[in-house]
Amino acid sequence: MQSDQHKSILWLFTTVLLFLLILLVGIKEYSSSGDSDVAGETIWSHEELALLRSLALSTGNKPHSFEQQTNKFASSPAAAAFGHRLFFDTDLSRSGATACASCHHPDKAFTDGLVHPATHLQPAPRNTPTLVGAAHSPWQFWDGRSDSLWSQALEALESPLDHGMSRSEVIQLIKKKYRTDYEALFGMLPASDDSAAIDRAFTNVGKAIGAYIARLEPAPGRFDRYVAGLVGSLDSAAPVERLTRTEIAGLKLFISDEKGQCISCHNGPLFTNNEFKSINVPDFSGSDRGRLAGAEEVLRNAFNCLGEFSDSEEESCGDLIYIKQNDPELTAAFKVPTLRNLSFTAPYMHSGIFPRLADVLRYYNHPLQRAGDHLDIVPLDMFPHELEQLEAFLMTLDGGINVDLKWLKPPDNGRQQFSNSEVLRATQAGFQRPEAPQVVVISSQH
Amino acid sequence: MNVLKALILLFIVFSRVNAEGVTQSQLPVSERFYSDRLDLQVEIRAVEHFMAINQLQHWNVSLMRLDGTPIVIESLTFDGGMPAHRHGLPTTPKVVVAESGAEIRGIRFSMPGVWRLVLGIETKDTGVILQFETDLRYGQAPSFISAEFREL
Ligand code: HEC
Ligand code: HEC
Repeated sequence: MQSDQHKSILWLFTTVLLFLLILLVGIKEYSSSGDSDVAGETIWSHEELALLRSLALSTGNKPHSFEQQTNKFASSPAAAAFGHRLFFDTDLSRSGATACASCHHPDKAFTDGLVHPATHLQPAPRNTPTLVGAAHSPWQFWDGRSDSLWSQALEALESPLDHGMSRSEVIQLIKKKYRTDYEALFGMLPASDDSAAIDRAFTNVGKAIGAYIARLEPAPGRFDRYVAGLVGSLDSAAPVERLTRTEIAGLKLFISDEKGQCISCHNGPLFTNNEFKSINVPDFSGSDRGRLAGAEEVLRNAFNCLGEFSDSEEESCGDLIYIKQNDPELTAAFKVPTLRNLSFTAPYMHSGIFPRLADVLRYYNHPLQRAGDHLDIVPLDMFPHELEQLEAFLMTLDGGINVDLKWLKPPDNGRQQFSNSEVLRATQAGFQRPEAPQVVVISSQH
Repeated sequence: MNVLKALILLFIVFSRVNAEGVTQSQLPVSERFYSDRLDLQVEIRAVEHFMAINQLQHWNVSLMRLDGTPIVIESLTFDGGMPAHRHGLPTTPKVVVAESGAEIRGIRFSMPGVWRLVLGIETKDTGVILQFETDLRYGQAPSFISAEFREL
């Protein structure tokens, strides 16, 4: 009797204990699923926190600069200052009217607001991409046919669709206008018409422009400050950033394996895995082979990482050495673009076909599917309110550009024809969304 | 007795609840796969970035008997992709088989999620295919979901 009672007390004790345990595990699972909103705070699981940290700027994440790899002037302030002048100089074109800044406007995060530039008359013209954070990509252009900012600049200078200058014309102009800038950095300009010497000098001009663009770092947005607060890497003076419920819901969709799946391609602090994917975005001719052609071109490009003008050791050209090529998956595949500063960079996609972000998200809900196509996404079938949540989240990535204002204005040394008002006029002539912000958010850092 | 059981349970449950994400220094640099039937084990190892997401990495591959006796690899093939996303590898890895060992250079995992990888290994007198699946997550050690050896 005594022992029986003892036994049943033990049973009771065990049962209560088990019950408590189940409750505890339940609470833990519930909170790590991240759906709870305790006193306005979202609870994130450890795995989610690790993921958020990998996406944020300013949590000790230092994205790799690919420009540094092949351009030894990439972090030279003098080279950047020279590149800054060249970037805004319309003399650097056959027509005398085109500068890089004609299509890459600082107040639009270095895009132009157009579907595609008016001079791009090829069958499948492409949209002007942002240059902010471009140094962190191993590939330039939508098809990655160039593997550095400097080699990209050389193509823009020579292309009849852009600047239309020959190499020796570029060097003539440098001699006439920029001899001191050039020679202080790179030594004597070639005296003769020796084509090898001209090529070398032409490359140096590209490297100065590359050094300028490499400065255009994205600034942390609200998302980054929110994550910095979560992982405790915020300096104590900074106010705690909160995201709204809608933005958090959008973030959850963005990182979810089942729902948005955005994270599989748009990952890392620039929100791109630097890959080329086919998501069947319509273009104007249906003839754009995208990366399939781009991979062949970058391998042929004399100014690539492995070429004689590159400042890199062969072993740091891994992206080129192990390039994926000749694969049907690359047909009409395009570079996964950064998602930072989207409110400045409309219209969207390689063909500039979507004027608003909402159109992009609607497309992900029902992508174009054709028999025989390799498609890297699945229809999402999200509810309209979920698409709105995603859009709200994407807006928290807008931080602007993390440079001193002087780099965003035409250099005022009196030698430029490209005045500030012309930049603004070019902007106003371009396509604009009604809700497009007119001023760039700049967070200055010295 | 029951109290003891409950305490053990308590311990198990708590150790599970407290399992946290691994820190960088705890991340593994290699993995081994064993086959009793074939008396083989395969090791893959990377000096840097083993199985890390979006980092170019190079693997050393070694083949051994279960007791550790090394077997010389004569040739090696490597392929893979993500079954759920129906795509292959984002790079074209290159295989180098030398006296000093076998190496696969230029591997990159561009997405989190499940990757299926296939190694074809040939030795002087036999050939074997090792196929395994691994789930990659940010800030976590890779979790190897399945592995299977097949004779060639
Ligand atoms: C006529 C308009 C125009 C001019 C002028 C122009 N660009 Fe571009 N730029 C574009 C377009 C359009 C693309 C995308 C083309 C493609 O992907 O095929 C582009 C792409 C780029 C890219 C690649 C960015 C990325 O993320 O892929 C860089 C870098 C760039 N331009 C820099 C420059 C520089 C430097 C100059 C001046 C030497 C210049 N651009 C002049 C329109 C222009
Ligand atoms: C399979 C890879 C992949 C996935 C998954 C993916 N994207 Fe993209 N995304 C791309 C590619 C590739 C492009 C460019 C396509 C083009 O221009 O043809 C792109 C373009 C975009 C753009 C336009 C950016 C610009 O500057 O033009 C936005 C916005 C975007 N994606 C958001 C998302 C969101 C939100 C999700 C999740 C719902 C998502 N993406 C999922 C690959 C992907």
